[in-house]
Amino acid sequence: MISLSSLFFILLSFIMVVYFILVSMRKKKSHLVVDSFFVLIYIFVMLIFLFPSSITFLEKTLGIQSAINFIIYLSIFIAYFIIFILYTIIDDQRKQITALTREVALSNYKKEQSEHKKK
Amino acid sequence: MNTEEILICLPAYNEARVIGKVISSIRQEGYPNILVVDDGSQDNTAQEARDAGAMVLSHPINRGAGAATATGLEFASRENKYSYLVFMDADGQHSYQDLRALLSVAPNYDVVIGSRHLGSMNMPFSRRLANAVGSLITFLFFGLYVKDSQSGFKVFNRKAMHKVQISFDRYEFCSEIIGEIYQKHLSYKEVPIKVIYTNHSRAKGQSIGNGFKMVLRFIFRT
Repeated sequence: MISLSSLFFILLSFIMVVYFILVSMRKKKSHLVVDSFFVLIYIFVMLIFLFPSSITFLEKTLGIQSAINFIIYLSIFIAYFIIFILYTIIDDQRKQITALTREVALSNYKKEQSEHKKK
Repeated sequence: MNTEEILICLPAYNEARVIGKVISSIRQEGYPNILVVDDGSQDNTAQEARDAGAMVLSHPINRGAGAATATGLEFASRENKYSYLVFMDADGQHSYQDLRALLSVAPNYDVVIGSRHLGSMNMPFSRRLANAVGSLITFLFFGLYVKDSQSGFKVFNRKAMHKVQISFDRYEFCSEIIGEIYQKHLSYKEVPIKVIYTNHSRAKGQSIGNGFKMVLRFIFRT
């Protein structure tokens, strides 16, 4: 029998999965890896609440002493992954800003040159 | 060598105090085409450079030495009328006699690198250490060892101008250029140069701290 709190988390995870899929579909340029990662995470959370015994199986398979340790390891992994993804996004934006800055400099120079020629 | 075919590019950030003198000295040496890439300076660098007779490209915001160098490369490739593109530091630490030495071997190579580690060394120890670390990191990440991977004094021929692509904005671009030489099979030669260190030039350039930042950026990007 599923408890009320488990049902709440299952529903919440389901909403998040639907939300991420919809947002990913609407975005013109989506980060497929990032979106898929979050969808998988929420599916994983849903499965854990639906089948609580699965975490014991994972503990034994991965040789982790307790469920709490497993959650801590997973949280650290997720935190690092998010840092990496944020770095990638910031780096993309940095490249775009630099490209824009360069174009502005080059086009301003062209304008100055054509104005100078007119004079 | 016809000096009309040579474009000298000076990436500059807050160099108003010295840029005019540097440009005048280069012009006196007989090189008429000087491009200053003003990297969002907060002082009068762009105006001083214009007054001294240089072409000026102005970044509206500061993006770093790598970004300014890439803008110079982009300009030269688009203009497509220069046979050689020379990068020199805008703070006047490079000697014009060395410029002639680099250009004399340029017809035989795609890239000529001015090396501070060949010949007599007048470099401060901290700078020497930072450059050694930079060259080692460059070798580990890009597979090519050159004595002075962090040198800002380089000559590119037309082929190198079109082939080399810089994606790093900050000082990592020096290592990236070495990587580009290796990956794009460009020929290169290191030529000994002397560097004139002043208090102004010492305040800028590579440090050990930059080395750590470089490693982190290379790990995330390669």
